[in-house]
Amino acid sequence: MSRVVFTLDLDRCTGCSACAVACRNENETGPDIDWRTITTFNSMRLPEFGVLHFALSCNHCENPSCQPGCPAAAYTIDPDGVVTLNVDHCIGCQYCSWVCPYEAPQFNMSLGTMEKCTLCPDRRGQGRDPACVTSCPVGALGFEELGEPEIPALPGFPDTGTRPGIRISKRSLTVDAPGMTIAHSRHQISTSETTPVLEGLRAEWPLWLFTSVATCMVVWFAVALIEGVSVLVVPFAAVGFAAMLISAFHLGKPKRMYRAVFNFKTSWISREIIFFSAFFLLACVHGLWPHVTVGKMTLVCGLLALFSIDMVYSVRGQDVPMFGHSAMTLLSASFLIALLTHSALLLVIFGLFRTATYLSRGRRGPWMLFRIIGLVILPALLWVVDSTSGQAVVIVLIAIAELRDRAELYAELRFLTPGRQVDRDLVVANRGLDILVNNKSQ
Amino acid sequence: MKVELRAGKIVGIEADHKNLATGEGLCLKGLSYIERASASDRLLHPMIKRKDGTFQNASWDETLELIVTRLGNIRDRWGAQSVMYYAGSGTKGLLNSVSIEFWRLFGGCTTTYGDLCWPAGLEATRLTLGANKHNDPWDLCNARLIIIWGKNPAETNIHQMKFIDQARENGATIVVIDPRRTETAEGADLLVQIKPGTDGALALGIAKLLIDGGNVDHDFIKAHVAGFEEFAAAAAAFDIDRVVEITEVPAEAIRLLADLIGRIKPMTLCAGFGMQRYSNSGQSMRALISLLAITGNIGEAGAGWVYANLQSHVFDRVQDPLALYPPAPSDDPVRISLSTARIGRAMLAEVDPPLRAAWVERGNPITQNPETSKVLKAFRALDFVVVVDQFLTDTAREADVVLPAKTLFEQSDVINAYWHSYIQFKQKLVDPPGEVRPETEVYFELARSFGLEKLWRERGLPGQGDQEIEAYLERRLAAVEGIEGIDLEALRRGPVLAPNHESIAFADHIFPTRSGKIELVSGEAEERWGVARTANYTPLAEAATATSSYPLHLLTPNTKNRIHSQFNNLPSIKVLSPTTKIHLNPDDAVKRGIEPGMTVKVFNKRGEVTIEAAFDHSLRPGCVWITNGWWITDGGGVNFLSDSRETDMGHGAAFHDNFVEVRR
Repeated sequence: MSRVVFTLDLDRCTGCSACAVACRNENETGPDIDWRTITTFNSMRLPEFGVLHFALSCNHCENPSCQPGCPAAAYTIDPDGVVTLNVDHCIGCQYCSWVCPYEAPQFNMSLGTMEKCTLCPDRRGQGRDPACVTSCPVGALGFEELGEPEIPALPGFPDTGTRPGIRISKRSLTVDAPGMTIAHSRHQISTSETTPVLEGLRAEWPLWLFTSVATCMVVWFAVALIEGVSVLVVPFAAVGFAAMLISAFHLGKPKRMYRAVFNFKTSWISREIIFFSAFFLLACVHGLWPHVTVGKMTLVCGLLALFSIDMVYSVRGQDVPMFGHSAMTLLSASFLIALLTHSALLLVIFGLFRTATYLSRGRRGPWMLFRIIGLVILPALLWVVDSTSGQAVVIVLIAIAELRDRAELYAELRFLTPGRQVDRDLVVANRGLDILVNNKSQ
Repeated sequence: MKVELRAGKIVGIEADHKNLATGEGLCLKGLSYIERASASDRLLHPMIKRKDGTFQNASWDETLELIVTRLGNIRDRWGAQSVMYYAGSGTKGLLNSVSIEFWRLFGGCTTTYGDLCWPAGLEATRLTLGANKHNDPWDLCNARLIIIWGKNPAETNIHQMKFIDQARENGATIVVIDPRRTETAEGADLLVQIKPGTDGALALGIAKLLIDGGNVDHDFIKAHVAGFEEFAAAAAAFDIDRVVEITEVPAEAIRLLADLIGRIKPMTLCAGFGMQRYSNSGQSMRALISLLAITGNIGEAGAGWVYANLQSHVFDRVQDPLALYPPAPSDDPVRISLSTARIGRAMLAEVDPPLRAAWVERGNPITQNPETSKVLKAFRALDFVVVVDQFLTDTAREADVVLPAKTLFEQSDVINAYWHSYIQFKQKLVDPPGEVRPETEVYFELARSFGLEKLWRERGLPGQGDQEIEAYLERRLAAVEGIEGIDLEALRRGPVLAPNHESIAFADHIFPTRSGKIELVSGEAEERWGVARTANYTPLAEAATATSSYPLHLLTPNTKNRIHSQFNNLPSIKVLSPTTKIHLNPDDAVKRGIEPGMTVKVFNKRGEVTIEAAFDHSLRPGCVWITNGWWITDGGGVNFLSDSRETDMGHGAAFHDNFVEVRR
């Protein structure tokens, strides 16, 4: 399908950044925002590889992640293929920046909304190229109103199947260094990224709190339902309201919060909010007028809400896959329900499964021990400890382990970006060489 | 460039396609002029330093009165030549010459000779070819072999990359000779990572291989080259084993280079300014040019010596490099006695009269001239310093009075170039913001205050207002012989190629040297500079061995993000280069326990800087590099490490004779 397409000649691009500065001039973006940036493969110039500069902005994908992921339905795809963000509809949840592998949507702190490449509609209206293209001093960056996208198999370009509107060209599909007269030494490279848990929490605490509280509320309701009682409406409602209020804190535009349900069709955030709201209202109704069918419906809505939460955090290309993560809300809730309803078999199954997934993430240290204790030993203690206060202490310790696990999830949230793609590919390529070197030496 | 104005505000800036050299697109610095003109830290008022060392905005009346009083007193007591007039190359244009006219009227001044930038190469070229000119930039696409020697156009001459790309797409072979694996080298077929400062030996070694192998153009040599036999005898001393030892380039690479040069025509050799900033580099540059001369690669399409193209410098009575040299003693009131390369030491040593005041414009010598500690000392020894600048640079911080400078949008001027041959009109677009006044107007006011208005007018110098500027420019243009038809009206329509410019330089094989031929032997080189008559190689003045206290060769190249010390204060540039870094080969770093991101001390006997370490895995071991131009306030100031040392010819600055040690 012919559509708007950027063209990028990797043999010509030197990473000079003129396109980025021209974009800034044209769109008057602030100093911390770049609608277009250069990401360089092998910027440290490992002698085994060439250097590639990916001058990227929004690629106006044919099958973008931003548009279906946006709960506020702020993204539209124009007939010519331009992906447009309607800033007046944006609620500033920043979810598009999670799902876009090109870091195209950028958060404007002062406006509280996202913004991104508009493909210079004014200039195109005058028959001119976008500002970035006009400014390229070496003719590496081009633009076609009706073009054919193409992405050759090269390291460093993130592709999550969104069919980006870009045609990348390079004469040779190998990434070779120039012939050099010096045999340079090989050194290990490390591109590992770690975020301290507290730092991750500081950034995303409203989300952490909301999802943790939502999990607790579903557990609370489920345990009550299984034990044939109703939840206490007043505290339940108070907690639910507080959680929803707090979750609005992370929005750039809290007043537009109502828009978050506008995209039930494709957005897991919209679904999360709708299912959670339904769960919350039905649970309150059930608390006041207990009824079996309502109770079942409530539980279904609650579980769907948790499933939606997990889906929100499941993003193509992310570093740590959400499915199978020990802190998935569905897993956490199932585990706690089994714990509180004394289902030993389920508890053992969930406990061991989550231990395995936790260990597979490779976290080490004292918290790892605590996590495993929280999944295996502490639950067993509940059968041993008799006193109510003793049991309460055990439950609190388990809850801390759960909250910590979920906090780690936020610290580990690393979505695909051009920078991560080049790091990943460089490490993979370099590791491949290690094997070659080892084979040779044997 | 073309600028878009909306309601008196500059909103867009683009390349003018009529300029065939730069018309593809502006570089990022050019684009950032919009931001620069309205930057939040731009100086918009005259400022006077208070006793506590801070600056305070002042009115023009108060500022001019202070300048007139102080300079007047200093002139009365010590003589006019106790005032140093220092002008850098921050702004080019015909109006620049108004400044020195003021100082002549003032009664004289002391000023500099030589240049930080490129004189060794200019002089080497002048001695060999007679003139600094080369083919049109776009002719490079016709080359079959391009040797980019000590130049990194991807960062310093981005528009040249388009023509290199075209040549490569046409099948040309590209060779880069550089200790670093530069961005330019990424597109090369071969990168020769030579030991810095040994370029002359490599060129002579290649010349010997070419001569021995019979791969020289005897017809061309016979017709157009003087001194070939003597040159061949000098090159004969550079047998390949010796060259390998000196340059540390493998023998097979040297043979390959000789083979390529002998076999592929036409060849263009693009030499950088960086590689002529060594104590031996004039002679190296002569050796490089000789490779073109003996293979007949001069005066043809796709061939030649691409170094400096001064064909648009039609306004200069005396062209560079001769214009950069101190004149023979004269009664001129302007004393040209300070070597730019040794400015700090030269200022301190000046007597009869000693320097008491300085006026600095278009430059930032504290950051950019060698041996910063001495430059700082020299400036701090003065009684009164005036600095004209757009920003509070390291030099401006040393001033008693800072005058806010215009940007290129705020006063009309006529400019030329040194790569392409266009003469262009720089049109005034907006009034200067705040209380900014163009330098010509400040000088005019000063002249009035000193009672010099009548003389000012007699010399036809411009007064206040845009009309006077345009009338002055018209007069200047009209006074130049051989550019009939080039007036402001013509220039307003777009860039104009200098009349009589040669698209293929030296196509007529007329070389304005003493012999009228390409001179591989130069008596003038020996007489003027005391170097050998032929190109040769001598070790660097500041040589080092691995056992010395400062074993690492420090290179201070330019970055695409700045022009020397300009631009890095702008947010859109700062985001690209947020911190000063020293780049090391990991082998050298690991030996010193240095990891990327660490803060390290870079030092030698002249000074030190404390900056962040970064790895460059393909850097030649034993070399380290820091881009020049970081302000001291950014933790930079690479010239704390460089020495006050001239190049072997041209009175350039040998910045790259610079060895350091790095410690965590």
